[in-house]
Amino acid sequence: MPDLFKTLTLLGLTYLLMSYSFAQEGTQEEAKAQVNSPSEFRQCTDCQSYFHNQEQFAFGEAPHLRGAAPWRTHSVLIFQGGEIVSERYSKETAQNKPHRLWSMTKSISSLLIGIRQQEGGLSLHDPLSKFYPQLLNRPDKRTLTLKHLLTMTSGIDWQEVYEDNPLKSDVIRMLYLKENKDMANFVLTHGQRYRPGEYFSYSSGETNLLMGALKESFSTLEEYQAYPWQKLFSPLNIESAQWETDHAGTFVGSSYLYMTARDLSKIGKLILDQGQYSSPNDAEAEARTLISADYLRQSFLPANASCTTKPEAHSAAFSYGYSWWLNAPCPERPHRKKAFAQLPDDLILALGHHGQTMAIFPSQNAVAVRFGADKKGRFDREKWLEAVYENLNTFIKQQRQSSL
Amino acid sequence: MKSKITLPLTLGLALLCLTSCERGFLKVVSSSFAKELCSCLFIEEQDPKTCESYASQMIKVDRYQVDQEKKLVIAQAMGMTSSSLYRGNKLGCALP
Repeated sequence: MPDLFKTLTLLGLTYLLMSYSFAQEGTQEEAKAQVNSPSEFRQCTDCQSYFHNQEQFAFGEAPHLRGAAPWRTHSVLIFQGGEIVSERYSKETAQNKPHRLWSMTKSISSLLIGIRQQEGGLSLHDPLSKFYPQLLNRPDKRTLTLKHLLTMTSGIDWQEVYEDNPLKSDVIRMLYLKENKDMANFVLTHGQRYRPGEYFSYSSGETNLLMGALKESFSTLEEYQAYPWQKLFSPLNIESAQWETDHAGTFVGSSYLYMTARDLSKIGKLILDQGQYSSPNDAEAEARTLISADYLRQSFLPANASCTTKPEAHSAAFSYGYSWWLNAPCPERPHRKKAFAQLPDDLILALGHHGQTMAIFPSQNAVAVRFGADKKGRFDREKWLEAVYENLNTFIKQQRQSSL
Repeated sequence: MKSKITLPLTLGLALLCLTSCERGFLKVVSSSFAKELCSCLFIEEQDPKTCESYASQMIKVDRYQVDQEKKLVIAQAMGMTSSSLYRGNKLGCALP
């Protein structure tokens, strides 16, 4: 009998101890969910209500849309003044799942070129033949520089059409047919349609050729393939990034980088901070320069040819910098209409297929990210960004008033 | 699963290809499906149905298999077979 009593007491004690430790674990889990790891931005849950309009529009819930969401938004994230003020995911994705960036990849490729230039590995003024000596025998490409590729003004003959016109598309050949083995060399086989620098023509081939030149600036493939992580992703605590390469090991800079919305917003924040990275939760930590402020300033000035070339259907009336779409007016053409009339001149955009969007609002100290699978091209970015802008302005005004 | 318009579309593209493109072009249907399905499943980790619908274009593939262990997608369409392998090491999927 005492033995049974002892056993029961022991069992009881064990149960109590275990339930206590489970409870401890539970509270720790909850605590983790509330306070993000030091590398993550703070989340302002009280702020979310200011951003309802844009969220309803993005997810197709505005009353006039009658509940239909034909443009398949997967994620929306808005970052303002150091905090995430709006964040939502559809059932297709989640906070911790990387998402395809499609052509937003081009803008991030451009940051890497800037970083490589500041450490002397290449210069935007380098002729492409420095990296591809076979071009020395091609007089039509003699004046072609890396800067031309970065600003889509190489003049290389290229058909930038997609799955709706597959037979004509150089992009489809490059990504899916035998040409995908070495994308940069496929682009090099193309002739010149214009002289370098003369004409703006958005081309996925140019970014992949540029990423090929970046590869050639390293002595080993390993160094090149570690570079984006070493110089950009790891310092920013971006852990979700995956970047597909072709068989020559070249990053598909035109299309194939993946990361979470939170991680992409860290790149937006780096731009707001003019290339300086500081830890989001440690005000004492010293800021590090990841990318020179001067390169970023140059990146957001409209390339001359992007102002003088008549806009093609897919580029609307945007001006274009170092692989970023800009709402900036063209100094040489003051009468040319802005792409997004209601939105600020300093708006900087990374845009991708199926409605992928990152909008950087420097004057509002804000970044807005939208991921989706809008295969039919129904998402109206301009309307969504107008709602974002309006929500941001109301929010900022309110913040100012309450701090008075 | 195959829609009724698939056959005429396939024949149409095949005819067009006889005159204006090389035979290799027929591979685009299976290869784009294999590549985009692979990335959707193994990088984005979306659910298989959503990925199938995302990777499908106007002309659907005839059949496909996913080897979860090898992280390999094999797809067939228009008499051509394509595969795409998830290579890991942050370098995602690629066609062979």
